Amino acid sequence: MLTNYIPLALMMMVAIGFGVIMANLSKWIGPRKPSREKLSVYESGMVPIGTTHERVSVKYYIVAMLFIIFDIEIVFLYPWAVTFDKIGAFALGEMFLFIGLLFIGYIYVVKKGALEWD
Amino acid sequence: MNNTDFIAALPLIILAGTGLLILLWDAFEKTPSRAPLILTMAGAIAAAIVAGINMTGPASVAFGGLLYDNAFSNFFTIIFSAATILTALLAERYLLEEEVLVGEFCALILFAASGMVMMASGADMLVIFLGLETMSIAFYVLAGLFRTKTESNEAALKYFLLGAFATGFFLYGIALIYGSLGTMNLVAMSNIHSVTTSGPMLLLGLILLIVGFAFKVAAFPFHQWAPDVYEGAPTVVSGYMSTAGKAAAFSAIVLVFSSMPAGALAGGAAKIQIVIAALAACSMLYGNIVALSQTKIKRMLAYSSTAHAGYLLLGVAALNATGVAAIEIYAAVYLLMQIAAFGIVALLEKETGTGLNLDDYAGLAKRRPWAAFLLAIIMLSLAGIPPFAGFFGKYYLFLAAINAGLTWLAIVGVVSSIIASYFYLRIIVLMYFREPLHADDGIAVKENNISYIAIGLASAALVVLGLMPGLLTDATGYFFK
Amino acid sequence: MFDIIFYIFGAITVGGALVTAFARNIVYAAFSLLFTFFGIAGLYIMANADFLAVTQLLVYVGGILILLIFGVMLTSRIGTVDIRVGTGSRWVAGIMALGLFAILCAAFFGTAATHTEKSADGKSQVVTSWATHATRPWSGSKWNQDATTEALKPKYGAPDEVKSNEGSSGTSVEIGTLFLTDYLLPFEVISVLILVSLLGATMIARKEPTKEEEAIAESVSV
Repeated sequence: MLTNYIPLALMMMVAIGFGVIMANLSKWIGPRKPSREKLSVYESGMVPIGTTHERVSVKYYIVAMLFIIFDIEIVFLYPWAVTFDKIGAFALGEMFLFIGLLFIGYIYVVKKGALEWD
Repeated sequence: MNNTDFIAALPLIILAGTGLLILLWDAFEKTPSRAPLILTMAGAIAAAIVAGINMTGPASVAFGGLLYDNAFSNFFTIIFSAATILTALLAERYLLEEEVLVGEFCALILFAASGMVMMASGADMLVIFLGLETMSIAFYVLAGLFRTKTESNEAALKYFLLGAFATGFFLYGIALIYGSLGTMNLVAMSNIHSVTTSGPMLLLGLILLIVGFAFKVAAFPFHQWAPDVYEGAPTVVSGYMSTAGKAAAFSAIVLVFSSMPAGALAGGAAKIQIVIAALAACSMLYGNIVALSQTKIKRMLAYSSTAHAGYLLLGVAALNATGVAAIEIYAAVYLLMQIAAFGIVALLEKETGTGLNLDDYAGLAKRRPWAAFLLAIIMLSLAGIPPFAGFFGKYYLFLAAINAGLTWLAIVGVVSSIIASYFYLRIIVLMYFREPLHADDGIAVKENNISYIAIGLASAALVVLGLMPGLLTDATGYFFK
Repeated sequence: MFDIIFYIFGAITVGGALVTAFARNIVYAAFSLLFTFFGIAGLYIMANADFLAVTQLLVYVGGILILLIFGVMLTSRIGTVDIRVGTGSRWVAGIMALGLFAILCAAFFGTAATHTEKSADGKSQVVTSWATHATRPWSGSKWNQDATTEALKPKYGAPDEVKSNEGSSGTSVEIGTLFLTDYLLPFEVISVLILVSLLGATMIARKEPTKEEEAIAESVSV
């Protein structure tokens, strides 16, 4: 059964290898002549303002939370998607109910302005 | 899903459906009004009526072994509906005046109620777990309903962190039970004839399950969250959490433990019984003794709720027919007492957070004769003094313990009841025989008829059930038959 | 081969957890949690629970970890704070964790997985606890008689079967079928549960618009 995962394992190895090699290739084969100017922080040619540890707005957090909740919904869509053809219209109805309930939640969230940025 | 399945799940569908309706209403309606509260009550009444009709019908298991539809589950459904109705009545003034989210509050208590119904009627641990989570998440949010108050936020965060931790224990317990019995289904479990070689895994699973439940009912070593949460949460929410939530957890404990296969524990049953009996004894003594020294009424009620969880655990330790009936009776009676007690506290407290000390209740009889009178009835019932319903509830629990051979536990229960009567009666003494400490009236001046109606109804029920305990014992369907 | 892969995933999981527990910097702790989650997903695959593995990656790695790192970034100067607690409680916690480990080991190694069950003719039969799904007393329910009966046939992965279960199509089909048939009620209840979480998250975290802002919004929409 694990043989099913060999392509997956290969792809992961390629992905990791590609990332590591590409990120370090210039370091390995390129010449290194550091100077004060080169080592300074580069930010589109502008002089950097503030620290790198900038605080992120709390607004991101609620969006991230709502994302996770809908993410979990997707988890339940997945097994439905692979079997609903075997069970037929009944399964379709069930999924409509499932999503319908969450759609009410979505209406609530939108109407309450939780997704508005200001 | 066929007809019988639908009918069995109808109370659940009604409760959750009303919650959805309110949520939709709330999304489109901007001005706060009483409409969600009225809808909540209508939904709860409908659910209770359907459960009442189901109760008289034959017992069955719906959804192919997922949901019980019997006297036990429907009795608890009626209890939860009653708690929801009382909470909605009490919340009317409280919410509209403090301008908090009425629609969300109503939707959440209805979702919590549907979770409780699942806990009381789940025939599969999966359903019980989902019910527990639905209820708990609704409670976490309800505890933090007053978002601008620090205490409310603290209560919500504390409850959430500790509750999530307890859920972990609970889930691990389910996993181990599933691992050792091969099923999560209570019907299938009780069908297992015997376990040829029993190991400690099932025992460990049950103990982890007890830890999870003990947290939810705030029994002794897992009670630390209760005083802070009940104090910080909105008062009506505290009333709802400490009664209906507890009753739901107890119904689920009874369901799980009474479905354990007889031979599965192979001597472990006695160990489990000792564990539960020890929890019960510690909860009763600790809760009542610590409640003696409290100066704030909500904390006092919180510690006494730990003691009441102990009394109910006594029925679980006995786990015979009398014990189950006694748990049903006491859950119903305790719900009336505690919700009404918190209701009076909600009526007297001020927005600024004063009016919550015991001293504020001094001389209450002269200033608010009706509130004092009703609170006196509730306190006498909580103390377990006849002829109020609290006495009979305790009596059946102690009887069940003695029938199960746990006489020592019944004695501990009686002793702790005597300790408890001190602080319950002290409030009556304060109200009737002391002069007010503050000249400027430390308590709120609002008079609210709807709250009085709810508290009056609950108190009247306590008196009626106390004088005619047969009403409840017949409803449980086990006792005296 | 199977064992070697298992130990690799195990090492990734435990190593990530150790770094999470003992890192001085909370950012490192959060990121090393990634390896723990990933390792657990690998272990799920080894246990033939591919659906669980996908869920683990989708929800924990793709969601909860991101939220956690957001949480770290939202908090000012948290990266420089030493998050470890005092040594006294660390010893107590260590002893308790070891005790729990010992108890769990005792429970797992001291338990045999067989029991007897009443069969239809009233005789007792010995079954291993891993096989009881096939003998559920209600499996004659309506939904099992149609086309789904076929889909229900594959057994859950028992520990010994895992290695021999070559070419299995994975658990998603079984889980999907069970959700839509026998476990219909939990399936719909889950959506209520998610809805409650949605409502709670929105309610707790949302900023209540002040009176002036509402007035501005009104005037704009008019």
